[in-house]
Amino acid sequence: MVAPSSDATTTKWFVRRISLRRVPPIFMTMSVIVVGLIVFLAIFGSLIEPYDPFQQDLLDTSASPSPEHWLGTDPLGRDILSRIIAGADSAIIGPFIVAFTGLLAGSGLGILSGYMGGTADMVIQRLVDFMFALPGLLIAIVIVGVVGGGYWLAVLVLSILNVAGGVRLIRGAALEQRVLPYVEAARTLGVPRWRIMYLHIWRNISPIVFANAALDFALALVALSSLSYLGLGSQPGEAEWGRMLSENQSLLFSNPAGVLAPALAIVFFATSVTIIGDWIYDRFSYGGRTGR
Amino acid sequence: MLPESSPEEAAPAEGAAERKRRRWLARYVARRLLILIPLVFLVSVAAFTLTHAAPGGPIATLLENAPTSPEQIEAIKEKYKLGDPLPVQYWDWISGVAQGDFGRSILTNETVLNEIRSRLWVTLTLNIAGIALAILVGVPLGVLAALRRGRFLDRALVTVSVFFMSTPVFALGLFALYLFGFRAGLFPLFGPGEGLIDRIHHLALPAIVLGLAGMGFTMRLTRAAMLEQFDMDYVAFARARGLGSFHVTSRYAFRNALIPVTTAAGLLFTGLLTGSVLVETVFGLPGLGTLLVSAVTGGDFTMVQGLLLFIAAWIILVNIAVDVLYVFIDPRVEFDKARG
Repeated sequence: MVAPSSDATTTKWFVRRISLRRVPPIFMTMSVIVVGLIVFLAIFGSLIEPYDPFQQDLLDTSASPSPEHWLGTDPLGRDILSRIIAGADSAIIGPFIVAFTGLLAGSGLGILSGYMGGTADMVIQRLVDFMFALPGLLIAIVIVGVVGGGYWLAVLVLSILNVAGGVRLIRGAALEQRVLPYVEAARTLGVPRWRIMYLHIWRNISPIVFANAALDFALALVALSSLSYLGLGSQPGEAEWGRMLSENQSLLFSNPAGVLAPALAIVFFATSVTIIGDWIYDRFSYGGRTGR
Repeated sequence: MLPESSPEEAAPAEGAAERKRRRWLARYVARRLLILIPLVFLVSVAAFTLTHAAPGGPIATLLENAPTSPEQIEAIKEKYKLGDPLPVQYWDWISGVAQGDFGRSILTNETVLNEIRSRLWVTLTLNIAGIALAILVGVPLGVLAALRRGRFLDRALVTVSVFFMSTPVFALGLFALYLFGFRAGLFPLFGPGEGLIDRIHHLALPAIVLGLAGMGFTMRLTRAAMLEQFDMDYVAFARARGLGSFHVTSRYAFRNALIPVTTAAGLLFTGLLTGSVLVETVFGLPGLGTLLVSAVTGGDFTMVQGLLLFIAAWIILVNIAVDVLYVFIDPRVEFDKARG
């Protein structure tokens, strides 16, 4: 399915793809602030929510922004601002699990595949090629929709489908490391294979691993909110940014701020995480420091 | 197919090689098309298993709004042959499909094929326009960014592409709907429209949104591929020989940069197909995407199965087309290399 191309090239464009190269410091500062704010809201949100995010007020539905409700209320009379704050934790937990699974499986299988070569490499690569060609979100839509599972099923499906990209990227990076003198030296000294793979090589490619995890996080956030926008994944009533967008879409022309605010939250969060990932890669990778 | 019917060639020596290549290409395409059969078979098994293994299954779907009595369940089981063992049910379905009978939708009682046919044009239009936009705008901008590497324009373009890549397409759609549909009043707010001009008007904004989402991807990819080529010795050598910048960029670097870009084109196509599910939902368009979502959430299992087969065939065919295109773009791909 995947057209032939040399592994080195694939890795390079992947690495380039995730690298902004010298992120302007203002963007970086803004990104850290956005991520910090959302993490703060996820942890302490329940203390500062002006209203109960699940409390319906059927006498005050679809209200425009006012001093009482800064972003107005949704069609069931729930305070939109409070619901955005309450949605912060599901915007972090799910994507984090997806990214972390990708990080573990990607490092484990990717380094194994790149360093050991041979049969293991071949089997893993065939599997990865196959999974990589699958339309991930589309499959998630079908599985989550047909099974009727909730948020956690969506997270599980996305976690599995997300692994392939990381494995491929990290394998390429491991391939490049394998021939370097320090690996040779370690091998000569009789360092066990697993140690070379998961301590020495992993250390050296960890900027790529973390940058990729950040990218995975952003993509998973987008995918999960897309699913909930379609009414899949999160359950009706749950405070989740994607679901809020579809539940409030009817207010788009009367209370645009209330509808577009959750969208902006998703956009800012995903962009910030991507930028931070790029920065990690820039700052810590061997290629980044030469300042190209 | 192709090669035998083209004996007339101007230069005999070149003609022989050309014929050989064409024959190889025809065989290559035929081989890839043959792979379509087992792949679609696998998808059909997966789709069937998924819809029948789901909790509740078809019976729950059919009885959603009706009071249940044992006789009714029996009648439904009878009608949809749900009492048969699963392999028999699968065989009934797949042999029907082989004869072009995909069954009837449970929700609308329309045949699956008719539903798909009546909605195909929306999704097809959106995807073709979106892909055209993503490539015709994204690729030149990527080249431009690479040419201005590290300068302001490059930074600005990369920022734009990061924004489009990390913005969910439905959020982009809602912003566009609000700004250009509602505030500026340039585009209709809902539905597919009537008549040719009106339809184009209705589909323009969704297509632009879809295209912009793809554009971020193609721009960034093209930029990376171009930068990689600019770092190569052959480019430095061409420049040292005094070849013009335009010549080096367009004839040398760009042609080579197209290779990784083409490799990723398959991803672009599937990405846009997925994106159109969301865009159709935002703009309330009756396309295959909204059909899939309603079938999936409504438990319309015949429709889900039929759509999955259709979408799988679509994706596989697009990937084959991309691989064939690849042969044309990279003349080095030769007889033995591209056996995948």
